[in-house]
Amino acid sequence: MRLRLVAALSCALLSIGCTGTKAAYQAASSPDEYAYVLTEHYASLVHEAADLKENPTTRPEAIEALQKADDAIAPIILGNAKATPPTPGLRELAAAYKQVHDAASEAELQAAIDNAVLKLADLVRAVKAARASPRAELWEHQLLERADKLRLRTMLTLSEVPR
Amino acid sequence: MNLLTIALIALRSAALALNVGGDTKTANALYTISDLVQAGKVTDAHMQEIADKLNTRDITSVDWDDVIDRIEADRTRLHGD
Repeated sequence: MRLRLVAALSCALLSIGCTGTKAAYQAASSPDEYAYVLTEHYASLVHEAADLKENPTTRPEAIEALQKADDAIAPIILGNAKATPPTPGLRELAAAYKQVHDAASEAELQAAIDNAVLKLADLVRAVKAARASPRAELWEHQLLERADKLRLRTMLTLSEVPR
Repeated sequence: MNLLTIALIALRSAALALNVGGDTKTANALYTISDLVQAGKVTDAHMQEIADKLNTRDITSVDWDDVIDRIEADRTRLHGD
């Protein structure tokens, strides 16, 4: 029963927490604006990923997963000058589409967006997994330690009270 | 204080009470949800700003420069030593 309640609560809370993200994607009225929103979403996630990496309680395997997910999406968002041939990022593709406004440039931008969306989902999962890290357990451990000390002190105090 | 902040405080308080009461499993589940919601809150606030921007004006090359700079700075933090 409790776990079902927890599951329902998580769905409700996670959906509350997504309103800004949904609003941003809904506000995009063209493929180039969508590309910008996607890039900003990626920027926000990579910022969180970097914070998680600098958090000493984040597990090494979680950090590795974050770096791997980022390596997969970065060339799509930013482009890859070292590739043969060099590949454009979303910014370049969006600019080309805005300038030319033809089917070919739109198709190229849309293909990159579709690819980025898939890789972004992997990064979202890696960030969420890294967040569910020992930090909560560490906090709980410190609290229980404090509670134990308080209980012990109370017991000792009570044992000194004359009957 | 917005709804999400109130929800986070309630969630962590419930988790603490459960932990002290001995229901560690449910408490841990609530902590995990709280962490996920907290993580989502930061990204979500930023994305709301982007939505507001798109609803008021066109995106310029300055906006693109800004987001690319931020990405590169944070990627250096993520992949560096």
